[in-house]
Amino acid sequence: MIGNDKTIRLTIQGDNFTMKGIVQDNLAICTVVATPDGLAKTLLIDNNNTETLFVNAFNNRTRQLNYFKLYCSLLEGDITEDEFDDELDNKPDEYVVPIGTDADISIIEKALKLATRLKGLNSTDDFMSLFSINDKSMNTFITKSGKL
Amino acid sequence: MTIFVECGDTVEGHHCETYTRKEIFKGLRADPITQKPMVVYELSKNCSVEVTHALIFGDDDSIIRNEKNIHCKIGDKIKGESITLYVDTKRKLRIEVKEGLTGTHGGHLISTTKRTIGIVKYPFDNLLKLLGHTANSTSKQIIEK
Repeated sequence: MIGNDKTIRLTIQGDNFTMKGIVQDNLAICTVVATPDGLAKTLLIDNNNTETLFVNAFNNRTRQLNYFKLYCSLLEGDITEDEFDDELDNKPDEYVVPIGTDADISIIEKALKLATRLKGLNSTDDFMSLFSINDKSMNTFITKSGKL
Repeated sequence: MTIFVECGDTVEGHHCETYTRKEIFKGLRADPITQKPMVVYELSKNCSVEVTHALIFGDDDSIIRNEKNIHCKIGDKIKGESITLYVDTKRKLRIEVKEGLTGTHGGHLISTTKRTIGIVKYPFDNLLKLLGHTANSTSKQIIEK
């Protein structure tokens, strides 16, 4: 709501969370009334992206590991070739890293911050396949980063 | 015979001849065209993939390849500093190591007999300026996108 003196008054209401604020030219005042759960839930909205990145990365690493474990079993003679093929055909989600999807610049920036702490990332291809990011999003990020 | 050298150029064939000096096996991944699980190799240090036997596509498949600008004719070849190779199999490929293939280096040769896709990941360094990947390129195709 914008008052006559060009002051913006806003109210944000969520689940067990209420924030009221006044915003003028050079000043913003906010008060928050919330239960601890409500505050945590509201503040963690942005962290859902980080959680998704972690989950994707962990699952893709697990898929790679599962495939190499299964391959070792084949080489050691623990399973036959038919059993190896059947396992891959019947449970592709356990062994096949999926194709990358579109990702916002903000998500790629978060992934890059995480990537510095992760082992085994030796190329952009490793990075993109780990976080399930496609070429198009990566190229857009690189182009826009160059212009910033 | 057409040689493609730009980043992202793709060839697809039923049989392909591949030359590389280094390959890294990356496991199973969904291929970028049909999302089918395929074995992936990262080729590097001067590599090429040439189609020696073309695939035959139906109408729908041809439309997909045309839209994605994928080169599927016999003789179509990609060359680059690094190439991503997808092969329609579930196991590691047999690699033949030969010496004396170039004036200074030997190489690793891979002959695939299953559906193969090659995508240029990094072009040759001496072509970067020509392809518009540097700040002082005369063609500024990447900068203007």
